[in-house]
Amino acid sequence: MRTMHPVLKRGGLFWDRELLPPACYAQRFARIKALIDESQDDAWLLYGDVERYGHVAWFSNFLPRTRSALALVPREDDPAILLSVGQRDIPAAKTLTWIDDVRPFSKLGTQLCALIKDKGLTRACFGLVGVEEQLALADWTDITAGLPDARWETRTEAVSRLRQSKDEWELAALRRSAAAVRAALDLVADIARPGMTTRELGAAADRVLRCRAAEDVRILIAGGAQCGASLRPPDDQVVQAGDTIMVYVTGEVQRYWAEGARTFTLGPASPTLLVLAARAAEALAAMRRAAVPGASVSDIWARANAALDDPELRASANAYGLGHGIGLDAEEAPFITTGSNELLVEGATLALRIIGHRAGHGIALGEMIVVRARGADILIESSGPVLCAR
Amino acid sequence: MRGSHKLGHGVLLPLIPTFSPPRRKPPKRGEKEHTVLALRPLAPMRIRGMTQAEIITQDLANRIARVQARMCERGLKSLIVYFNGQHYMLRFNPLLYLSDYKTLGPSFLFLRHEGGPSLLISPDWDLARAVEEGPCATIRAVPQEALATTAAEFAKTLPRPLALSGREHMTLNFSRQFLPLIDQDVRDAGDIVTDLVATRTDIELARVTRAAAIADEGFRALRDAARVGMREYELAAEVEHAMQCAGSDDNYGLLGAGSHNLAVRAPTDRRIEEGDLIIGEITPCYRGYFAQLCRTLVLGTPSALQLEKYDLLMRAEDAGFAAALPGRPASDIARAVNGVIGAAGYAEYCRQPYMRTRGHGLGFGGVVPSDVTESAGPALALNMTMVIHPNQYIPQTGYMMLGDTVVIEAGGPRALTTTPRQLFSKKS
Repeated sequence: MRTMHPVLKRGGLFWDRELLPPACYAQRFARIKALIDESQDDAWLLYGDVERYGHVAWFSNFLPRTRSALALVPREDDPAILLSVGQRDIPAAKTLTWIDDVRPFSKLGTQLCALIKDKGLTRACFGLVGVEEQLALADWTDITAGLPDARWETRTEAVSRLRQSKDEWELAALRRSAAAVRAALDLVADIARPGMTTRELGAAADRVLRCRAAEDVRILIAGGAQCGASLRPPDDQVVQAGDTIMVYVTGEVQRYWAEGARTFTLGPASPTLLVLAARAAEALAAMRRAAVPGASVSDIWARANAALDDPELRASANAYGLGHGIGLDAEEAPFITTGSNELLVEGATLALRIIGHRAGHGIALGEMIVVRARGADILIESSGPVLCAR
Repeated sequence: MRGSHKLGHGVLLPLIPTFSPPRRKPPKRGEKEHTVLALRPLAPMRIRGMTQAEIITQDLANRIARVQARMCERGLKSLIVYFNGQHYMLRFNPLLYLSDYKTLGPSFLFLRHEGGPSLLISPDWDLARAVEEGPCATIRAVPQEALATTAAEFAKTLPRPLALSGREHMTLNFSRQFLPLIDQDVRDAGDIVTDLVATRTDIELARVTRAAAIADEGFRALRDAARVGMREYELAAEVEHAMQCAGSDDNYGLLGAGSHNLAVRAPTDRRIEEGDLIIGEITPCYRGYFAQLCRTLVLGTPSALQLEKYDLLMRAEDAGFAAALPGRPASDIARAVNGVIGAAGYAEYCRQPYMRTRGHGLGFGGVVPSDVTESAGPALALNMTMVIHPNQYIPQTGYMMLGDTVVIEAGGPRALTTTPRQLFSKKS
């Protein structure tokens, strides 16, 4: 779900080699090499920016804290990575990746062209992964002008497919992120009380995540009358006795994202809210039950919409989105949407949510699951329809 | 809506918070801890007899009028401004400047040569906040996937000639969707707004000043919380928490610790040790406006050598301040700072890879005077805001940090950050 983009990923930045050992990257390198061989391309370019870094981090472990990173993976040579950092930052950057050839860039087009010339690939065919989706037009213009004899092929989908099913290393990382998000959501229930601002609640949740080594934290919240309108970044809205508080928390630990959403009341929930919450909970459960390997995302979408059974709630829930894959990107394939032929795979991790508004009320319920043939493993539960804050 | 002012013309503006955080002990490991800071709504800020809401509305009208005047100079009837939703401290955000609305996602602003602007935002569910925050007459919200086609349809209704700002920040795929749908002769006007934002208006300066106060609060939290055994990211979390409670909505924050730092960096999982120098670059954002504070804290008793070298940084900052006069080139600041540090025998450490810049424009993007180096020399002007930071790597002590956000006034720079200039220390 779209959140406010920060100017810098400013939380703890390090490589936990016990959680994600070099062996896991050796395995990924081999899988990428196999895809390159299959494609007959000469090299692939894996691009990621601070907003979506999944492809480049999956391969390199490097996280762009601001701006971007690009990995060059030749079919018959060692990989190299270009980072938007200064020369003096290279020693610190090298601690975050297994790749030996780490170079800084201030102008991506110029430095990439120089690197490709170094590698003797100026007339090569390049597979593009994440480049067309995220690279700025100005950078692409520089690259194509500097490499007039190169050829380009789109290869993003192949890597997206590869990344959908998470291995045990990834699941361990995702469990750690999920535990941090759960702790933040639990804290909001513990501390929320009349007179607090949503800014204070958001700051407290943010602190819990950052103390658990979150690299990035995004919080959307609504309190009181805001619940009838929309989630938003924390602000000076003061919550009062009887108010509803909707909270959406997503955080990234060791590059892996987790998200959850819950709704609290400061006092007993109104009958209207309870009806709304029951519909949302049923829709969420319907998605979870349907999320098995081989299920189509459009079928999961249809089941949720049927369970919502209310045009106003359905419209707003679909505006926020019902869910998607989650991992190295906060939002990644597959997307729970209509009109898609995509099928779920064993080991995919999904963020599922019902966030919506109806007649001045709002509900936010979210779960994070692992798709399993035996039924979903739940990493973050929604904790029931509505929680009464203490 | 509670916590907001309802204005006569239907625009909602949030109250400005103030803060008076109580001193508190750092939490023990594993302890569930939360301190509720006392936030009290201020009476609306008044400048020259006007309320905050009136000031913002008038200030926005003035900004728009200045852009429209520039459009007329260039013979333009319409301007399309695109912003991709990726906020960046040093990149000016023209959409925020012209609407006072900080977008969640990619968005457009359309401005004719006369009249008010129209906003087209994504995601669509953020419409309510856009209406509350930005006193823009016309706001439309669409899902991100419909943004290109809707923007192109809107562009067709605009009078010609037409210019586009922000083309370079479009992704390749978005540009392939959007650009073929609009006139091929649309002009580029990436600089049309940027050229006008070098100096701060009253309300902008008030926001930078508030951000500077939040930065001071962040460093206070750092001093309070720092202790041996704490991980760097835990300390950064305490700084962040204090500043968010004080009203910060973003932060370009770097924090590192070590007995001999090479440069400032992101916090890691390293545990802070007795005798460490903790260096912090703290850059909170208040309603879109940034201020920066750079300071150094010794966890333990500072050595005579550390005090001596920090004194050098303070003298360098004094020299930088003395050179920061309206009409003089910004490069004079770099020369003055480097002159003091070079005279002490560290000239070679005033260059890459040790040092890059002695400051930069700050407040609303890193606009003029941009990077403060000996070769970059735009003239300083009244009401520019910038950071002057003689941060320095010194072989005997490692990297130490000192820097303040200032506004350029007739008599020279006035520091907006008020944390004392000294090498801080804390008994471990």
